[in-house]
Amino acid sequence: MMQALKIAATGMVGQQLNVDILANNISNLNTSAFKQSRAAFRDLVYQNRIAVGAATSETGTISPSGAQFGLGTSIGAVYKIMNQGPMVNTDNPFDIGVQGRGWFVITLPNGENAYTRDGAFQLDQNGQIVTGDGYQLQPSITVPAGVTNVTISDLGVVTATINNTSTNLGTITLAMFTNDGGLEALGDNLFRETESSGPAVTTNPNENGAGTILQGFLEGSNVDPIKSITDLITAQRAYDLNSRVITTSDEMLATIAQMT
Amino acid sequence: MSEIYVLLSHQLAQQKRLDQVAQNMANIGSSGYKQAHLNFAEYLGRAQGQPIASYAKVDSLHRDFSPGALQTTNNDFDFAIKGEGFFAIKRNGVTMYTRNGEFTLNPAGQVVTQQGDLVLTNSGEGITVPFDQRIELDSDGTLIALQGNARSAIGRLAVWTTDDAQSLIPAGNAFVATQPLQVDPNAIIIRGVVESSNVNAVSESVALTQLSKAYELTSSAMQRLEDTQLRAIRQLGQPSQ
Repeated sequence: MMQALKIAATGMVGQQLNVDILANNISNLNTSAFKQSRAAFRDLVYQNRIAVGAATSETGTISPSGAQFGLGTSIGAVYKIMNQGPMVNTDNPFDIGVQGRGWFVITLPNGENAYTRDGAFQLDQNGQIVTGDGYQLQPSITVPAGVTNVTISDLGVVTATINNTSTNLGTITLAMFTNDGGLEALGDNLFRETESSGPAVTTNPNENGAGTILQGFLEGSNVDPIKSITDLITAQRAYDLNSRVITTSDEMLATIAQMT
Repeated sequence: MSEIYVLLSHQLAQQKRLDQVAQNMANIGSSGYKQAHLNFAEYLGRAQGQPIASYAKVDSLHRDFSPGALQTTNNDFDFAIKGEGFFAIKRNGVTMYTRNGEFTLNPAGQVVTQQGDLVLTNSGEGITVPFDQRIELDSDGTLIALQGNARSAIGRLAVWTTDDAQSLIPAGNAFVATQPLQVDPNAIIIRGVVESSNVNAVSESVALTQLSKAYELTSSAMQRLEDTQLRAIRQLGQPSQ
């Protein structure tokens, strides 16, 4: 039977997933430190109808290019584009951005570590620096009650003025990975270390390739709205075209069916 | 009665052509995919003591290696080749060639394709990026690792070319070579850009319409042929009064 129907179906399924990915990107246009994803399509395995180098005569001439037929497409990978989003000034002393590479280390309620670039931190009832969900920043830093003027330097050193004297409260460290794209997204702007990301290496800001800390700034989403919309249009057209292949296959099958 | 087989050969050929158009359309979003078209040839045959008839059959497949449109992604490890040539990769120990430069890093810090195939330099080695360093691409394809102000070359991305691209065998996102390829020292590689497929949606759409019509025509020719035969049998087979 006609392969075309199945091949076009792989194209439609692929484009459908692509639209899902684009929809997720667009809906996270305003999510702090969101990293957009991209679908990487690839052609599927091929089958030989005429092998390259197959004999074309008894005198030893061979087919120079043969004829290999493809079997459609699939999404080979969905990878995150790890570019820095724009830094947005918020003036909130516990909004912290990373300018450059590196991830904040967060302890999940189950004791595991997670990593985020969303530096919208707050203080909990004990004065510890936590995420919006109340998960602790590592290494844990406690801001005593009654302090004024918490400042965080570009090297991550947190200082506070207590009774008119400046006190060092600790240093924010960053985690570095060989392959940021290999981190597993957990939602809530959190990521988990995986085999493909490589192990986390903790370092001070501005050392070992890590970026610097910016107090009073949040990293925005790196989704480009205009590009996302044009990608969406392209995906929709590609879907249309593949459905046209199905229509044509169907017409050809109907032609056969009408023959008596 | 070879007419019916001649028409049948045409119909089978159109079906194969449709399969190839479907393959091109399905891969319209596959980076670095190159569209292909079937060539048909006349095949002279004599079936069952009949006079020589001219059939249609698939002769070869012609792959169009013209460049696809370049799409900016700004991704650090997306590369595209300006002009002819391929990146070399290693899959299961076999060197393959691809136009798809959507690369990434594996846990060992090596530059790999999205399927995990090692990307090779001009000397056939992998490229390892030290984890604490950022990379930059030199104009000649050399990857430079930056640590502060220190710059060190970590490997040169090579562009491989061949005079006989039609002999490359597609293997899913890459081609296997039957003849050795050569490094083009003057090729230009761009970073943060991906080459889209070169599938031409307009010509493929037109091909679909043509296919459908051609199929219909052949079918109605077959139908008419059968009617003629039926009439002949009825008239000639009439018992004499």
